[in-house]
Amino acid sequence: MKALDEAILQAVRAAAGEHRRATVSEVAQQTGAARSTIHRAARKLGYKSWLDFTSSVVRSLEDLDGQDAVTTTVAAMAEALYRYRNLPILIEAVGDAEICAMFLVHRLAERGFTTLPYSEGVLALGGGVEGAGLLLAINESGMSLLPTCLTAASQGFEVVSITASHDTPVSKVSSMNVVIKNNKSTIAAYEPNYFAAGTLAFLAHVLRRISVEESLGRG
Amino acid sequence: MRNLSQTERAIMTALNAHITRNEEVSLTELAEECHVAKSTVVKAIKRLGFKGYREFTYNYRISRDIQRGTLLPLKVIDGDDAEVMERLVDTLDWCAGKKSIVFCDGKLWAPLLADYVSRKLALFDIFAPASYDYAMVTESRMACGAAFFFFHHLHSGEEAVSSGIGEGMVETVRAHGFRTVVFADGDETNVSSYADVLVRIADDAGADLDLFATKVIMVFERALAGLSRYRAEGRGAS
Repeated sequence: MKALDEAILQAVRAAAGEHRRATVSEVAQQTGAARSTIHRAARKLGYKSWLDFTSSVVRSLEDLDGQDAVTTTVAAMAEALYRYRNLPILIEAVGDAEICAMFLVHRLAERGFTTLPYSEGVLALGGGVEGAGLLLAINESGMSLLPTCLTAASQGFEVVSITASHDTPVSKVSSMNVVIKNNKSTIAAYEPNYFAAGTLAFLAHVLRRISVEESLGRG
Repeated sequence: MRNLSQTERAIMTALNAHITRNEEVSLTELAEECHVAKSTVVKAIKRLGFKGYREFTYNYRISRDIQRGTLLPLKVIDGDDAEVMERLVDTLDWCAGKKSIVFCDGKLWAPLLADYVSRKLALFDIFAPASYDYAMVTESRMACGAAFFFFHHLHSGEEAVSSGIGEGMVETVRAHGFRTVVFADGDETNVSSYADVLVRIADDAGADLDLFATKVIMVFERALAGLSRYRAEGRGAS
């Protein structure tokens, strides 16, 4: 692929990352390419037109981040929890997400899971062997619960996490990481932060998945 | 994935599952898993505007998250959203320098939501401890602020859960000079006449998916943002 074609693709993808279609004019301005070259680049990739090309990229990227991602991720989390159904499942959260921890402890315990709020003392229940239990760390920043995750891992616990970014220390040490969007701001110019709301909604989907699987005798 | 073919869709779904599990998956492994040629995978990726497999997985891994639009409920409040939010923000602003209470008596949701709301209000210098003590209402030496209640009637035959030592507490609290803020779903005719601000939480689309707390937090977060704007613009009491 030529450098100019690559530059065109970059511009289209950058716009798609902002959930919008790039216009021929803006791409022409950004890349210095002629409008005819830009149209040709779309056809080279097998699209009928510029509209077809840019719409496809936007929709595809949105959908990859959308409902299918939710379904897959919900299934993966439900599976992880179910794998440890008869072993200690420890749940720890900080900040806004604290509400999620106690909610999940209660709701999983109602379904017969051995869930407990995290404490170092409880880690000993696992006996220190590999696969001793599961730690679910819910940490928006993905930083403050790193010591907890490392301690749990050293005691044989598998660590899974929910954070606001994939690129955090907590997500890196987790065998599975779910990313829920957040919105950090100052008190003086506060913007709604839906990390806790999103996490609760995600966990509600996970619990429903577990219920459905159990009712079907799967799990 | 409306614009992807069935094969391309299968490739993306498989890749998504690996990335969720923090697993590295090579182009060869992914192609084998999806029973397609490596060139098919590469072609699908190029159709999304990426140069190659490595670039795509890197970008996808760092940018992927669960979008609000697909996870969070779209309808949160029943009734006039703007009017409810304005009254809620106005009440939060009015609480400055007064004593408010977040009632936490009840089962699962009331104490959890009370802790959340109380903690967040403290960040905005609003004193509103989570409590279920009657004396907090009757023996206050501070000026009365607002009293927050959560009334959640669960679906699926689960028992109804209320907060605030029964719904009669709303009337009592109001009689003592507090503004009452009630978050409720279901039919709350008993409390609605005593609520200065009634936030009717919209019913969940599916009876087996309980999103009451999610919706309360969404409303509350928006109200905090409104309060922040109020203060920045020099409006309101505080």
